[in-house]
Amino acid sequence: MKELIIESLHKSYAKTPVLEKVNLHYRSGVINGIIGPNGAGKSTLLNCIAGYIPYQGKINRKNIKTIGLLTANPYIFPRITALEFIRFSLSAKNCREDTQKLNQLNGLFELPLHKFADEYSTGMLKKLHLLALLLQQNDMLLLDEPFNGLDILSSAYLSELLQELKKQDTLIFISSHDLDHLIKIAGTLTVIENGTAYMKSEQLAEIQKEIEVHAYDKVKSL
Amino acid sequence: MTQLILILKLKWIICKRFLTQVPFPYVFLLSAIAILLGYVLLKVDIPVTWQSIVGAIIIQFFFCSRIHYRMDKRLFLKQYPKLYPLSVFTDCFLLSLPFILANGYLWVTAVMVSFVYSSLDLPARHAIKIRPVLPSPFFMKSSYLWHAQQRHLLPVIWILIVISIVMAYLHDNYNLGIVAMAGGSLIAFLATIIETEEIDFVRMYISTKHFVKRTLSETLYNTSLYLLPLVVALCVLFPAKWLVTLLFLPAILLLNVQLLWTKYAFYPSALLAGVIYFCGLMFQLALSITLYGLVIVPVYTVVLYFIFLKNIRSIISADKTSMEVFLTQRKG
Repeated sequence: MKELIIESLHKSYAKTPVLEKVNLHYRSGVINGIIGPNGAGKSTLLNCIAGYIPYQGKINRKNIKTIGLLTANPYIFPRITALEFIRFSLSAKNCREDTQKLNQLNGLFELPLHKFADEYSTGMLKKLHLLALLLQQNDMLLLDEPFNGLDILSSAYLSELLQELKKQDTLIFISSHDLDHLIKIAGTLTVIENGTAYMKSEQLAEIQKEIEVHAYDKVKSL
Repeated sequence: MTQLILILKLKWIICKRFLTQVPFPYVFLLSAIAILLGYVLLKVDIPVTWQSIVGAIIIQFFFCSRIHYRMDKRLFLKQYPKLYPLSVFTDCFLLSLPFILANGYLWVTAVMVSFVYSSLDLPARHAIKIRPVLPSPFFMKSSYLWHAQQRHLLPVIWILIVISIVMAYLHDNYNLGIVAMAGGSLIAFLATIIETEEIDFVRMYISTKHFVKRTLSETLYNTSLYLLPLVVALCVLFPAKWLVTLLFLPAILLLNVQLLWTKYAFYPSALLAGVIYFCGLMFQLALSITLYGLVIVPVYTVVLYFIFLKNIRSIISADKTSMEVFLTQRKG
């Protein structure tokens, strides 16, 4: 069982606070969704969880040794092929290359692996990073807007793959604006607003309905 | 150790592939410059004193501070053990290599600076620092060239040039004014135009033709706006030299167009583009010595244009192809 305990997390950029007094507790076995308006601090929360940016407070990562992070705009080295990139990321995490699994996964994403990755479109690049992360078998996966830029089929494949990973005890976090998608796959939903984050206790379908009603009323009142 | 070998291998592959894309004349020029620099460093006799050591620290620190890792790159590297500091250290270490030729002790100093710089994660600290952007009276921020992070240099250098022109007038020294205008504007444009943007930004243009037309017109327009007040000031303050002053305007316009084309000819490597632009300048300077050589300058510009066109076409058409695949999939 992997656990993530966040206590009194505080993060600010220069003098602007982004996250204040965040206390959350997550366990593996469910997919954890993160939602919030643009600029609310979803990516910041993910980066703090990973421990890649400085923060104040305490984040306890129990039984988590390896972390896989997909950023909203994934980085790619210039002039290397997609296959070289995958091999590099596997070697850097001391993982063995499983050609069969790679071919199976790429059968879903259909990436031209011998092409230079810096010539990929945004969606293809995201798929490439996901492919590398899925092959690595990380203890914790942090995915920032993973469905953004993906075609419908790839999004569906990714959802299924994440469900499988969930069963393998991987702690998964997904930040997304696609609430429909999140509700289908996520077990918990963390909302970030007004500089803090909290977990919604209600049923996810009810949250979606609540948002739809709110949007309907707002548009009608124009 | 494995991580270090891995990052070195990766950088070697990237470097090799970039170099194979460089046209032969540039390889020749780059080699010549490298040999010349190596020769100068070997011949120069630098004693090991506290002043030279402090100098080496400052120079190496300046070199290291030029290494910028985007947030996404930092986050990507940080998920792999030790890869991020090793990558920064490798870059700093490579920049310290010329010190070997000058003096072994100074090189050790430079390597130590590189080690401290990479272990303190200074690139990250440097990147989160807010850069003051002074409002420029000349450029719209939305214009393609002027979204550069270094755009605050434009008004700063412009003001410095104006001060230099006033000083040149007070001391009746025309050369100071013209050198300040030419040199200052070159530095300002080099720092802003050469900055690489995201590939998606380039692909926003609907076609190669659209890209070529828009970037060219914006470069000419913005450069003219930047230079015209300075040219007018020089013409008014030194009326006898009006012809020389006026000739500088088309010369700088041409250099900026070349800068633009060089940037996108070697996109996405700003470093390679910068070095090649510099080599190109030297090459054209050498050609300009004779009238026959001067005739080759337009040929050079045309060749550069075609390399630029080829690269931009491949970038923009690659995106169109993926769009077509997507549309076909949707139809299917």
